[in-house]
Parts: sequence; C-alpha cells; structure tokens
Amino acid sequence: MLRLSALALRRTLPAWLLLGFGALLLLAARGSAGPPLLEADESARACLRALARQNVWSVLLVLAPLLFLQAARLGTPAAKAWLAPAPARPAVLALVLALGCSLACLAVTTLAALVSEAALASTIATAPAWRRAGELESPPAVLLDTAPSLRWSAPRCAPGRRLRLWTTVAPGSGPAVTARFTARAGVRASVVEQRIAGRRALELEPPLAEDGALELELERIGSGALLVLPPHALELLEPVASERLTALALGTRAFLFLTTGCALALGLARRMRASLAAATVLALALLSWSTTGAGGFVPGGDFPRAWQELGAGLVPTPAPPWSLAGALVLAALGLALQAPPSMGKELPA
Amino acid sequence: MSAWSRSLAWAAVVALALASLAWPPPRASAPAPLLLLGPFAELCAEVQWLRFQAAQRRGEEARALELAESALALDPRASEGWQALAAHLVFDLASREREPDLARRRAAFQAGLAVLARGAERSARPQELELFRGLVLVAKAQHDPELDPRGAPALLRAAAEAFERAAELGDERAAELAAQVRAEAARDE
Repeated sequence: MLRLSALALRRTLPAWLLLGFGALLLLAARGSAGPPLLEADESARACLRALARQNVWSVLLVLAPLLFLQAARLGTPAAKAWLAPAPARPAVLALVLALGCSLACLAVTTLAALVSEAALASTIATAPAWRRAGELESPPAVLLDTAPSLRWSAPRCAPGRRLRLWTTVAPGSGPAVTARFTARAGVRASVVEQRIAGRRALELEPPLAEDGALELELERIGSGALLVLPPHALELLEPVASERLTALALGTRAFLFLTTGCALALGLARRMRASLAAATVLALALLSWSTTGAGGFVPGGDFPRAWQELGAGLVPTPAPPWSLAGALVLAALGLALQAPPSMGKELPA
Repeated sequence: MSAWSRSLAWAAVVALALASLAWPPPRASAPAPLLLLGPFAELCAEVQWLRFQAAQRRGEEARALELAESALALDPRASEGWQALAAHLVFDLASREREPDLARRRAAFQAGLAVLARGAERSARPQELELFRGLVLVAKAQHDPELDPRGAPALLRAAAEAFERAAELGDERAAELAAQVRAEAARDE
C-alpha cells in the first residue's frame, strides 16, 4: 500500500511538473528583490514583503489546475485497470491513492512556503507584525467646511492593539487635505495627522481605557479637498509574534484546498473524463471564492480575503476551524465517488 | 543549366545557411524571466500596469511602485510605461498640494527623473522620454521651483538640455522648444 501511495505521489507530481514548479518559484522569488524607488517606512516595507510573498504563492495557484488534472488522471477506470486483481477493497485503494495525492499537495505547499520565506530572509522586520482582529463601528461621512470634524465612540481595546482608519478625499473636491485622527480615553489621547490625497489609512495605538469607551474624532485640518470616511472604515489590528506566520496561514489554506480538490477530482474521474473532472473542481473552487459566507466551511474558500489581508501588509488570520471539517467531508465525498465498483460502460481515460 | 552551375548554386545555398548559423543576428539582452516569458512578456506587463492602477487606487503606494518596476522589467521598450511611472512620481507624489514636505517632494522628483533617465537608455523611443523630461522640468520651474536648490533657472537649463537631446535623437519639435526655454532661463538669470 505504501508503494501504491508513492506511485500516486509520483503520478500527481511528476518530475517535469516539480521541476517547472521549482523554476517558476525561484523566478517569482528573484523577481521581487529590487530596491524600492522611494524611501519606505515600516508599513510600506511590510507591503513590499507581502507583494513578494504573493508573487511566490501565486505560482502555487497557477499549479492547482494541473495538480487536479494529474489526480483525476489517476482515478480514471483505465488508469486503475491494473489494480483490479488486487485483493484490497476499492475503498482502501481509493484512500491510498488519495493519500498519495495529499502527499503531493503537502510537498508543493511546503516548497512554496520555504521559498517565500527564504526569499525574504534578509528583509524580515524587527518591528511587530500585525493581524486584522476585527472591525469596529464608524459612521460613514463627508467632512465639509461647515462641519470639519466627526466624533463617535468605540469599545475599549486590549493593550497593544491598534486602530486603523481608512479615509479618502471626495472626487473633484481638490487634490489633498490634512486629516487628524484622535482617540481619547479620559484625559489621555493618541493623535495621528497625515496628508490625504487618495485612499489612505491613519493608524494609532489608542490610550488604555480603564473603564468606559474610547472617544474617537476625525478632523479635517485647514482648507483643501473634502475628507471622506467610507463605510467599514475602522479596523482593529492585533500584534502577532512574527510575519512568518503568513506562511502557516496561507499554507494551511493552500494544503486543504489542494488536497480536497485532488480527492474530488480523483472521485469525479470515475464518472467523467479526467479533464472534465479537473475543470469541475476548478469551477467549484471559483464558485466558493465568489460566494459570500462559503469561506467559513469550504477549504480555501476564504483565500481571497486572506490574499487581500496579505496585500495590505498584514498577516492573514488563521484558516477557520470549520474549513478542516469541510475538507474532511469533501474528501470523503471524493473517496465515496471513487470507491464503489464501476457500473455500466466505462469511459476512456 | 549545366551540372557545374547547379552544383555552384547548391554550394552557395549551403554556404549561406552555414553563415547564418555561424553569425546569428544579435539578440537583445534580457533577464531570464523575460526570455522565459518570450512573446507573453508584453501581455504580462499590461497585467502589471493594471495591478499598478489598482494599487494606486487603494492607496498602496509602495506596492504600486514595485508593480510598475516589474512591468517595466517585463517590457522595457515601451516608452509609455516609463512616462506613466515618471508622471506618477513627479506630478502626483512630488506635487506641492499632496506633499508639503520639501525633502520628500524632492526625493520623489529625483526618483521620477531617474526613471526617465533609465527609460531613455532602454526604451525603443528615447526621444519621447527626453521630450517628456524637458516638459516636466519646465512645468516644475513654473509651479514648484523649490524642487531644485538653484531654483527655476537651473530647472529651465536642464529642460533645455533635455530638449536638445530629444532633438539630436530625432524629435522635430524639440529644437524649437530648446531655444525658447534657453531664452527663458537667460531672462530669469
């Protein structure tokens, strides 16, 4: 059975695919190593490292359809005809083949994680990395000349957390304006002031509030464009131990997504052509990415959100626990499709 | 045709074929990713420019600049790309309204000029970039002369030099502009 798993691993991830994947990973890692055009602050450097990580991980997403196709080819009746005399039950054979596919997915995910982190080995920041902890209420508004400030309350934050407020300027009202964001807790206050010329975030660490809520204020300083506070503008960030947790967060999602997709493709290939099985799995993945709420339980379904968080220079939140349960259910479905004896006319590979 | 002349013709064909193998046409030097992407490099560059625009809209400046750099690495011959990045640096990031701090404005302005200089070396139409450089310098001499510590005359002199280079490279409009801007610089001094 171990040899059959190894065979499934080699068939799912043949040498040509592994070599091509490795070459593309190295090119993606090397392509993101240029010095910045302008001096960058820590937040901008975090965004650049995020871009380098995205470049490497995107190679894995490009590889996904090929992995599904290879797994599907493994599950066609023609490809498994030589296993018919084997004494093992079909369910066990399907499980062993799926295990080989899973090992291939683990190998490519680990390789992508290693290359992405190795490429950034010399540029990792000593400053803390941040993760999105949630969203706080903020009233959408436009700050006019007659009402240049806006106040609202927010629940107090745990020590070490930061507030990030997204602002922008009204189109056609001028090129830029100065904005000041203040968080008060009793007599203590934290303030940040910046020039806003487009979508831009104002970040501050709020003062510790022993009891009661935080008083927040956004002001438009001086003349200039109209300042806009869009909906869902206030985010709460929490520090994380290391930026390298990005590899874990993305790797978990990628592994669950690839493994589940391969198991489903393996199962579907018993009923349809391998290319159709791979395309069906890919279509289901795209559907889950575009469906609100699917990310909670479909493995890799919240990949776009994690990708967006990474693009903003944050460490993505860990994969939701329910996605593991979803992965097990979908993989079991793939095995169930693959396991029963074939009925009727078998399709060619 | 005699057997001799037929043999001679065949010999000439073989000699020409061997000559083309021995002295292949010169290939433009390109980084490995560019050679690998081959005919798709321009398409990939277009995608990177779309991502540049999206990052700009989201306010992710560092990311936008990096994406523009990668687009230019993929397709360095398109002068429009060099102009787009330089325009973003000198007109958006180095604008007085957007960036009140002079040191940061100067840094963005110098970065924009450096992009144009690199573009003039690698682009297929360097005269366009020299002309654009001259126009940028004239605009800044009019609206933000503090960008050069020596003021507007220095910016105008640099603009005249850029126009002259553009004229040498074959731009018909640039010679006239160079004379006009030199006269303006002399008046300011």
